[in-house]
Amino acid sequence: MTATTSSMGSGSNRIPLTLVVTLVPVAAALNIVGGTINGALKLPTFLDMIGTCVAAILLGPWWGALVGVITNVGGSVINGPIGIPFALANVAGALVWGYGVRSLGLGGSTIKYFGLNVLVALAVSAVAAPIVIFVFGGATGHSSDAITAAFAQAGQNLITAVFASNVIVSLADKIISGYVGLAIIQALPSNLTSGVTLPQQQGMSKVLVSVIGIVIGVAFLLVYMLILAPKPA
Amino acid sequence: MNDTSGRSVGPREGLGAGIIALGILAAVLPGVVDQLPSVAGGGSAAFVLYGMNVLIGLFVIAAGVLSFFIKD
Repeated sequence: MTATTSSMGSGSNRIPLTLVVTLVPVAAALNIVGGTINGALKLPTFLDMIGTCVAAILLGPWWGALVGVITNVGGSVINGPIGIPFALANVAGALVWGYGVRSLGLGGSTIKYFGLNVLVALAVSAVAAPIVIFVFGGATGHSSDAITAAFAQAGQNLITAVFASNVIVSLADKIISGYVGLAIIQALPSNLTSGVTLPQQQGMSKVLVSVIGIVIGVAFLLVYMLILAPKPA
Repeated sequence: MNDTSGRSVGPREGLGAGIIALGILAAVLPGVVDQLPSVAGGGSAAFVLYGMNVLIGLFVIAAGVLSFFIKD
């Protein structure tokens, strides 16, 4: 598994404005659609950061942050204002994905990229859990509240229970989002992805890396659902 | 990825876009904070607004610090 990098033109980090103007709304729409489908299926994930991942890696961390805020503020028209405070969690994820790949070289290999997604999950939880606790009193009506309840029943206090359930759900969610985002980026024309160091494969191996990553994320999710979520009485 | 025919943007403009995003969030929050379904179960509207503004402020400070180091 090799990583490829090519410089952006003559050593500059500049990207065409047309790409930014096109990709930012598309990424925000992808986030909103992902979140809406996730909500409709009542999955214990979020799936509202795939576009953030794509924008942060392709365009840069702060463009990803813009996508995150547009997602949560724009999505409030559909889902109500409940998502607006979590825009900051989306921003945190964009910064870690963007700086991780573009500045720290954490997209250099499959293992590093997996680790980056774990880092994103931890960073997002560090921002989201206090919001869940102090803004929403510990429960937001999301499917992951069942895992929080399971930890609380096991004797954990509210703060520990919310942090633990948020990290667990976020881990599965960000691994899935990170690898779906990787698949989207690898499907784009190579001139749009130049200057970005990502696990690069040839032929079907390109698909294989993303599929394995997504399967690992889904496996995490199934484990939580089968083991941690309380069974109905 | 150079665009020889049109305008291009770099990390500096990206940072500007991020700060604009945080500004949008800071502007929108006061209008919706009392509509959050949780304010009943969580903190008061003023407390929520205080906490969210502290968080936004931290991100703006980080953006300001990064502006000294960003090169195009």
